[in-house]
Amino acid sequence: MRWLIILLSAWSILCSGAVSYADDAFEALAEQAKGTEVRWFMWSGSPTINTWVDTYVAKEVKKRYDISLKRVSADAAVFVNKLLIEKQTGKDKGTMDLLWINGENFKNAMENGLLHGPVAASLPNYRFVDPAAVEFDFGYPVNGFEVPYGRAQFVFEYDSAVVASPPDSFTALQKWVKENPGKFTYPRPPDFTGSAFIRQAFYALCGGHQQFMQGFDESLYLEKRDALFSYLNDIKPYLWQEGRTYPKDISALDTLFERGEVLLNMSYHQANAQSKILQGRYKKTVRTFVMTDGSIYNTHFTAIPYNASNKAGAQLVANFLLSPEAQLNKNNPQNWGDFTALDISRLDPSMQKAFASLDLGEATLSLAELARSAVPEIPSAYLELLERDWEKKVLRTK
Amino acid sequence: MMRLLSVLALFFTLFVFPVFVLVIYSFSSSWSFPEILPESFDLRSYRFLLAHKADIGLSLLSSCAYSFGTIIVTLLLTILPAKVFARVSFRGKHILEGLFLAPALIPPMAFAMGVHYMFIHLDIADSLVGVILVLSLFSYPYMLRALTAGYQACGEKYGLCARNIGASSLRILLTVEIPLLLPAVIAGGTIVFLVSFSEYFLVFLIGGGTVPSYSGYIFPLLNSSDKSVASLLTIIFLILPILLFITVDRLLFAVYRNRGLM
Amino acid sequence: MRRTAIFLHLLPLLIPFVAIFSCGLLITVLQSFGLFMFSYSYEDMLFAYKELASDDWFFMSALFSLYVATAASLFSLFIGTIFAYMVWKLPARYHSWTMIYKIPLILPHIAVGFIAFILLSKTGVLSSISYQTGMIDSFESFPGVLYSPYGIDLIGAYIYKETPFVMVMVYAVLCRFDRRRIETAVMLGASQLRIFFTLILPFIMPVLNTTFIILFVFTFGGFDLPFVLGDSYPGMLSIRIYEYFFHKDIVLRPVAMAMLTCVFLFSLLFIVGYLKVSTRVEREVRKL
Repeated sequence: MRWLIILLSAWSILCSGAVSYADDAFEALAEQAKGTEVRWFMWSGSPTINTWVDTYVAKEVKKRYDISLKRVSADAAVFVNKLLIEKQTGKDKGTMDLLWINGENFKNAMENGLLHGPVAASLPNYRFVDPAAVEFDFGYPVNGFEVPYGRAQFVFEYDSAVVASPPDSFTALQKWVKENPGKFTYPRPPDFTGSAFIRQAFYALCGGHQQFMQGFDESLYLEKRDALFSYLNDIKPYLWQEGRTYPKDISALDTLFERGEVLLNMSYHQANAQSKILQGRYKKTVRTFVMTDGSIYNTHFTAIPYNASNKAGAQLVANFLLSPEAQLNKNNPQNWGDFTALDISRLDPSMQKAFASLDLGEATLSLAELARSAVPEIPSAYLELLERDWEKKVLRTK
Repeated sequence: MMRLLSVLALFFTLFVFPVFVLVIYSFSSSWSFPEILPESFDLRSYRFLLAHKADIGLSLLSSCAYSFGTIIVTLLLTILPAKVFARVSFRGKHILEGLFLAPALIPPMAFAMGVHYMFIHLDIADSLVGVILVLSLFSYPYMLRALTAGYQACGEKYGLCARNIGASSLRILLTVEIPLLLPAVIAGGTIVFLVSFSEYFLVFLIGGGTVPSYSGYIFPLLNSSDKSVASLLTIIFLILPILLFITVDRLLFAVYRNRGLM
Repeated sequence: MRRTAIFLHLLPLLIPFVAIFSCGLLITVLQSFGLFMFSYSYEDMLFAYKELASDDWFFMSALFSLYVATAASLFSLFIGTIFAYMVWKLPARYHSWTMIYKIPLILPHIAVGFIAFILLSKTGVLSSISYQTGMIDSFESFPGVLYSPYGIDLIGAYIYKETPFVMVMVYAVLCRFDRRRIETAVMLGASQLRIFFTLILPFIMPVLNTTFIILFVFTFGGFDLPFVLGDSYPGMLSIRIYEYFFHKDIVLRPVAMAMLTCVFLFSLLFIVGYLKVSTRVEREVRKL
């Protein structure tokens, strides 16, 4: 019995030592990064998100760590390409310190060795994350090379004052579209949201998501894809512009929806509707809904390039973004509305209460409802094939 | 007088009306069909401007800086060749002329990726120098063409007179040719400035985000569904060069009237 | 001028031209053959070109781009010349009053695309005006100008942007025209139309030719404007290239490069061919 106690105390001393060692290492990073500049390359098509980054995040990291955050507008595909060229030409000191990335861009970056890592586990705020939830990014193992940033789920939106009852499944959608020609469309893959819509349809029409979770199986894909494409081609003539052309990205679809040219919208952000209502861009009667066939969710991340000049600063910012305070602030539709990547059960009670009492707004679905319909994303190899085949089989077909 | 008014009215409708629409958009977050004027006005986009004035100011300044830099570089590149093209005839001249026009005509993407590759090796990518160089290579044909036309129009006679009196080549260049070429330089410089200032893709690719640019700042906003902010920023895109334009235009007429050439 | 003097005069341009521009292009062309392609190697060097040859969309997009470029350039040239002439004929002190025509010149292509979008969309400004004046009874009846398969929106936007460019070029040359020739012609009894066609037009022809080349090839390969304005089917070639470049797997990069190489070769042939024809025509005209 005595031995057990001694063992246990030794073990706890060791652990706390380990923890404080990690914290010390982090303290060292903070010292190193003091007074430096961190350049964060991220998609900047949403003024709301940009404002949140430029005001709240930049101010906080300046206050806490004396870091000047510089946001640079860049699409993920573009900066991955840039890194690829830099790697090829041996550029060791790049100009990007932090990236907002996920999905197939992450996979491309990993396959070409473009990221620095693993970093995630060494960040203090990582202890609030459920590792199982962030193990895979579109089926590709993360291995700590990305730091969780937020959690997104695919939802549909409609104006309840105009549409009495929106279609709640893909079969219902098919009927709805034929009764309301020209009032629905989806952004063209490879736009992120448009591509997600295709994947949603794929799950719904080809028998659910479970079968695709075991990594990429080409024969399975070839067997199942026809159901999807014949559906999309079937509804095509009833779409906006008779399906001859599609909005080139989600912003274009947003514009159509805001102006009433189409009656349904879609978004990979659960609180998007509420956020837009608060800004006066959506009418107050807009509401969110999900399909009974399930709605895809994913986690989005931040990552550090292999040749970042300020790796220390980047880690500090990534860590801050993961902090409960930042995640709470981000979750508020007044600021952005992006859901948290943290595991609420791992937070302090006061933080848990804060999250629970967040007013997500009338237009956002309840967390319970969202959780009920959540299904995981598909391995990204399917994604690339779906996008390629969509172009061939739907866009180019007369 | 009537003619002036009708011309002005025509131009106003065709060219200014769209800008007018932008101004209205900037004052309202929700202007929808079928309102001729938005039903509610607000200053949200102007507040956005104030909140981001540091970033916007920096990107405008940077854009001006590399645009002027490009003017200087293109002038240096093309002033001597323009004389040759205007006055001398030699074998292969036409082919060479056509060849030199190429960079303005080929989509920037074509040589941009290759140039980027090279610039990284030379370590001038992600720098102002690199941006100015690539913009110069892309816009010098306008300067070249303007200068060539200018040399052709002003003729050799003044230069010959000066040489008869005993002036050296450099003296002739500085005191006779450049003043006579001034309208051509201004015409070419204006186009070069505008092309550089408006360019998005090249600046972002070669500048890599390290070199701030106004076009890079505004581009993602134009695609977003927030037309209000986008309209306001577009108006700024218009005003800055207009101020420069008016100043230069007035200067030019003053100079020319003084010299009795107009 | 002696040979060496000529060469020295051309050097400041020749060096950067070769070192930067030509080398950049060379790398693009080489990449279209699968060389310099990072860690990828291709067994078939011509795979990108074979891919293109069997691609209907590429050809249709190319033809569409040609059509838009021709229409936009010709219209801009036509309208711009007339406008420039109108301005020049005004008394000199009023010339600067007409400066407002230069506004589209200052707006970048992306802004013009944006403006065209707000004006021409089915719930846009022109549509609202049509509704208020009773021409249409709902936004659905407004003609689909945007995303039109005839490229009307693109052509219109390009004309808006390019007409002032033509005006500037033509005006600059007109300023060098000796007005006394017109006065003489009027004294001899020539009509306004005759004056324009026999005196003015030949004088401005060289600048019209140059401007046409610039406008045509720029419109053909222009990316900014169609990208913001929105794509239709088959759409502009430059957008296809952009898509292959950024939205598809890096393995397919040579296809984008192959398209760019085709665009480059076509532009080159066009310039050379056009210059040859126009110099011959100019020589004939001068003989008259």
